[in-house]
Amino acid sequence: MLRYIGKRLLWMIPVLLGVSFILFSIMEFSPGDPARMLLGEYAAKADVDALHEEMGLNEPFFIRYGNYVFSMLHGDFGTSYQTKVNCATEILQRFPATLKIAGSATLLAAVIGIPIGIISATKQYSMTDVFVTTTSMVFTSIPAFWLGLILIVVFTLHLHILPSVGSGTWKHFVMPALAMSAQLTATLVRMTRSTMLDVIRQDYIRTAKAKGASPKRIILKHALRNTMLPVVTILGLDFGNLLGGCLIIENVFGISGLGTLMVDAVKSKDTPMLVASVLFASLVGGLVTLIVDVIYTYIDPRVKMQYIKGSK
Amino acid sequence: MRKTIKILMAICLMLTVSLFFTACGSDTKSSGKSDQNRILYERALSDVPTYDPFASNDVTTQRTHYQIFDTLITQTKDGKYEPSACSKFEMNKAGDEIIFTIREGMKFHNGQKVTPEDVVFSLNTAIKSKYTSKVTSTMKEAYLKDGKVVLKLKYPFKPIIGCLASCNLAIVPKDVYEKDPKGFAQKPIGSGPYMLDGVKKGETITLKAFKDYWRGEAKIKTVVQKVIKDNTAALMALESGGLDLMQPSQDYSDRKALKENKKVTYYEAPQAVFFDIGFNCEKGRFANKKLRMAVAMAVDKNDLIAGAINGMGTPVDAAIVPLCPQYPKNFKGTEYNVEAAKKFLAEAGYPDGLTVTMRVIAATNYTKPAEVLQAQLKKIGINMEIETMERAAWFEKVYNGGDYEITYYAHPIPVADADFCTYSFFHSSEADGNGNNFYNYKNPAMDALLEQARASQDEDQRADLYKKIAEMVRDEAICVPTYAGYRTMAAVNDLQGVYADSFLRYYKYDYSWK
Repeated sequence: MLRYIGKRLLWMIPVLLGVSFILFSIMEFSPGDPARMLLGEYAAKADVDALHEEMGLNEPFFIRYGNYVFSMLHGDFGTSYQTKVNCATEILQRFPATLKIAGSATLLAAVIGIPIGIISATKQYSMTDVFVTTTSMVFTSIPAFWLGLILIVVFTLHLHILPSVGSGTWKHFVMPALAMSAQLTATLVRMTRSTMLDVIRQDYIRTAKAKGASPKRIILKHALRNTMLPVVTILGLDFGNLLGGCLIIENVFGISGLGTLMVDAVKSKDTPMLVASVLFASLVGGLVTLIVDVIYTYIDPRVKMQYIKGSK
Repeated sequence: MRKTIKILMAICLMLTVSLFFTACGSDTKSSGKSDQNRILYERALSDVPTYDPFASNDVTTQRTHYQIFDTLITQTKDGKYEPSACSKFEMNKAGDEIIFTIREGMKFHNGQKVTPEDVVFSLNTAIKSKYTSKVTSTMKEAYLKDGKVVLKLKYPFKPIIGCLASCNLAIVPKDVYEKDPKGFAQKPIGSGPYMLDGVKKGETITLKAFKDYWRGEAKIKTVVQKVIKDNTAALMALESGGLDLMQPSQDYSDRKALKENKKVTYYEAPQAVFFDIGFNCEKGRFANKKLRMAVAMAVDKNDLIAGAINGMGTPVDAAIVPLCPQYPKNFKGTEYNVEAAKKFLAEAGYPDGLTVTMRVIAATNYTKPAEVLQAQLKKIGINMEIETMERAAWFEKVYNGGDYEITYYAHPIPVADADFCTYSFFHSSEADGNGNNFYNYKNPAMDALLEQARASQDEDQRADLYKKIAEMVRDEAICVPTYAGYRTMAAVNDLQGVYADSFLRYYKYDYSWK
């Protein structure tokens, strides 16, 4: 198992290098001049040329990329063109806010979505099931930013019980978490319901029923574990995506997270910041996927055997 | 199972109820303390990337800089200029030197006295900086003479006083800045009415009143600038009490909502910019003056203002921002005449009309007017396709690359003087990507007028010269000025001293609570 984990971690290196190369290339060939963006659109050409020289932008692309990779391998992810601050410092300052939103949204989705999915599956075709499936369809369609604005209207404007912008206290994360978790919860409900319906029709469930096991025992001990594989996959993938930045929600609620940092970097052609933040998001995403794979082995021991065979 | 669900529901209910009770006292509104100490919450459009006044020219960043730093000259509410960090100033007879007497008793936030050496250092640093050329391009150097600061210009330049009000010419402590310019950019020391007290990156900037400010401590002791990028969220924060002050978007429905809100006062001022249709006067079909005239005569400016900006603007006929004192009175722009436009189109060689592409930045400031113009030009037989481009792409290809036929853009100015909206836009030396003459218009007669107007020290003569320049722009149809919009501001009713400023120069020192 450790060998498998080690292999996965090693594979991340070429993946991250590939990501950095793609990003560097995109920034290089996309229109816009970072020097002009810094100096202003009406800056004199001579000043822009001088800043190009200062920033090393006159060097050929491969030399600049090579220098960047060399520094990256020594732990230096560059200095932001805009703020002149170390990119890693900025990213680590912004990441906790994104982690809070992503974590609370995922937790909320799991706590609400999985039980409701189970109930809906066990009461198939009942009024509860119809209500749950209809509601989850509605929430799958609602964009998170719209829901966020509605929550602000209700909880801030009318009820005055939650703040609309900022991230100073836990109250600041309630609405962002609700807005972010809505779609994820709806997806989890549908996935859990669908998987549970497949599982409860299996022979071993019928056997357990025939042997006199209570419905609670059948669901929690026999069926749930087999349902969890796809559910954990969705949770893990979505958590990893959210960790890469929930830009729209960050904008609506005035929270300074990784998503905003990345988009600001794109707009200002701040290549070092963009590459560093995307690499960070990719690394975190990769680690989350690895953790999900490890969790599989606890849910289904057969998976562990497959990993061990595969890593030999 | 049912029991488990009931337990879960009970927990959720308890959490919701406790949320009601604990959050009821939450600070969703501005601090309820006595007015003297009430915090002012202001919206910021974006974070401040640097507090180095010589390394930024972004207006959003400068809104914070104006609170932290002093300048030699300050702009008053009615657009006039008066001494600030200097007690007086005088220009020499030639008009190429200004002598400043630095005010006594001024201090920096770290307790150091502001000295003439600091002022000389600050001016020279600004002059050398690549970021400040919009306001320092005419300055040569600063030096000390008999305890006074002398600013030497490259040539006599009448609007120089307005340039000195820019926070790009902020006064900083020489020894602190020289020792660690990078550190200064994150922890600035100024002599302005507010000190930087705290920053939460990307979220808030906290300013505290400087007790030893030379004009006396500001009435509002704490200002918190909240970074809220989304306009709707900012509007709701203002309505719910999370904000006291914000600059609303240009969106008509936002402005309407604010005007109708009884808890909020809405302010307007003319923009220091005019929007215009730009032609590539050197290459392509619009190098033909008759085709440009056809377009100019097909533009109904009142209709454009109504359609593009819901009537919130004024028509502009001369290619000069109306705020400038040199804007010619009763100037007659190109007449709106569809029949005459069709005639010009035929004379240009397109009796059956033609199809052109207007390249604009993908922002409603430009796309909405483009759509109205599309309908207007259709009446004379010009099918105009609109190609929207990302801002950076537009600047690279259109503004600096000259790769366009017709576009829609703006002439913003940092100082209310016609030189800023004419010289760099129409002088041949600024063409071909060297400056702002993206029309690539090259005419020695125009160059001569612009140079004369720049050098003149006589305001009447300058006004006359700029009138001639405006007439040449009109007659040559280099561009078609259309309208100028409004700058806006909205504040809660009990905040006094607020106004909308054309140049976005806001001094919180002037604000107070009722």
